[in-house]
Amino acid sequence: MHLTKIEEEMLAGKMGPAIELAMKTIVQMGAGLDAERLVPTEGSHLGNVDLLRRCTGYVGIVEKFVELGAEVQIPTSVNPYPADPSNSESPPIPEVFQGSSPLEDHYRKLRVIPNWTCTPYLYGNIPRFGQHLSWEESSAVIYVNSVIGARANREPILMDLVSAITGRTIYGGLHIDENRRGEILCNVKVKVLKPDNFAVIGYYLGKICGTAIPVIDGIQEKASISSLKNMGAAAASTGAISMYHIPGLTPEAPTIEKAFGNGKPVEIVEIDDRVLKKTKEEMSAAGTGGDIDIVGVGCPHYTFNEVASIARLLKGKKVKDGVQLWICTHQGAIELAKEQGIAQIIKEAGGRLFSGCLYCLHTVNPYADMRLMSDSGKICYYRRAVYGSQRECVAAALSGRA
Amino acid sequence: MRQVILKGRGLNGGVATGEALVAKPINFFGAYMQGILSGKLTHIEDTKHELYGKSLEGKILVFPFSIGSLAGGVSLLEAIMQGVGPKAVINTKTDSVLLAGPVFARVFYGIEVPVVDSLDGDPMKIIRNGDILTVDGNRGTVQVRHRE
Repeated sequence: MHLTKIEEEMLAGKMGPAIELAMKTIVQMGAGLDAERLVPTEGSHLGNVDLLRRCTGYVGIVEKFVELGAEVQIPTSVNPYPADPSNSESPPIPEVFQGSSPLEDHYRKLRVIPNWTCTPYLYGNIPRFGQHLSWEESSAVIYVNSVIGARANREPILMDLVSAITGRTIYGGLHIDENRRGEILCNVKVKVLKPDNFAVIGYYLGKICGTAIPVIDGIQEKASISSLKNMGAAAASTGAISMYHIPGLTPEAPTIEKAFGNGKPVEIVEIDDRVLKKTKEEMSAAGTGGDIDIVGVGCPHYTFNEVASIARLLKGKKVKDGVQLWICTHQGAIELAKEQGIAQIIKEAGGRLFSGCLYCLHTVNPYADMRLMSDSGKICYYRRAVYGSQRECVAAALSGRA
Repeated sequence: MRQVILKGRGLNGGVATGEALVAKPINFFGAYMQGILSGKLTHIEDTKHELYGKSLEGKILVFPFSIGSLAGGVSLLEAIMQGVGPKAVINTKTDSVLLAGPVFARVFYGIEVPVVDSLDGDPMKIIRNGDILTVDGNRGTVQVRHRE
């Protein structure tokens, strides 16, 4: 593998022992995978911290870097903790996540941006077009590649960390122009397209595309930041999609032809109302109807607009006794919601607005055994749940019935 | 005992000999999630996987590729650290998520778990459970001694 002069110096320890150790690891990974060279990255995002707090291997590596006085060399953010312990709105924290994690303190020492969100591209670590990144978190990777036109592969946990310390990752995949072209044309032809359809479209796309890049036409009109976030997160869960194009909307697809790099699609698929209906049923692995214990929304973190829209639905209403309504977002949106008085509306309705990780909370007890409803395609893939749009989720929280 | 030598690519160095355990694609995070949360890993806990209830300890793990979570490598690292991981890994095609486990185990903890892929014969067809394998991650070779 070719290394630049600076990379050789990093490997030889000229920039200190932390960078030397991180570089040694990246070079072994790159050599093993037959990479031609490394690529400088301008940002990193670290995967889940609290799930790994008892992993001796992971914690030991982070501790080693702290001991060596490492600091991240590029803007590096971090995924959410299960629930912000300083927020009284947070739900009771499951036993496995109680007490402080040594990792949170280590990350502060490494100068990681303490934004604790899975949507760092909206809060705390916003990339621009064309930047190469070394990001973990599949829902964020698909967003920055597609919507922003930054260049990132799904970095494995551990590689995100050593990339942050060196500002380098392995050159390959979506760092390379020709690997960013569309492969499958997906025509969305539904009678009335709603913002809620995006998570369902993404869920279906992930299954049929696998690792291929879809070019999605027919959704331009309703493609808000929130919709695109939700579609990508679902697609990156059911499949290994890391990028999509939307002609006339995403930056590398000014036209359909350009989205395919002036080539032809290898496959053309259509999404109609029938596909949406069938996919929705599939997303509800816990079955439809019946009683609901928890309604959980905001995976990935709700945007401020999504928080505002759920607050409008909740205004003057009351969540049914015995039912929990969890709304997860980042700290920035919580501050805005407090400022606008909508945090108060949610609180008065009996909902919990907090910064945390629905995925982490919902997969451990006591919450794992409860009957859950969500508007998240990602949650509906990873855990048995009932799928519903935001409006349907609110209705279920108020009535206790799916 | 019939013997075959397969040649391919060595992705992580070291030499190991042990009994083959052949399996379908694995999501290592799903395989060990409860153990990762509790701090003690033992066997594969993924009820949907054919290796459910089995331990990889002392085995040479043969499977096509890893799937799922980007925490797969760090989960495999933890299994290796706690002494319940495989002695070596053979894949049809190894990806960066999986490789992170053995590479970080070597660089940070000096534990060698050789990894070999892209062999000149399909390991999923040639290797059977219980075959005795010697994996050389430096040269990228696998010696297969078929169990009668």
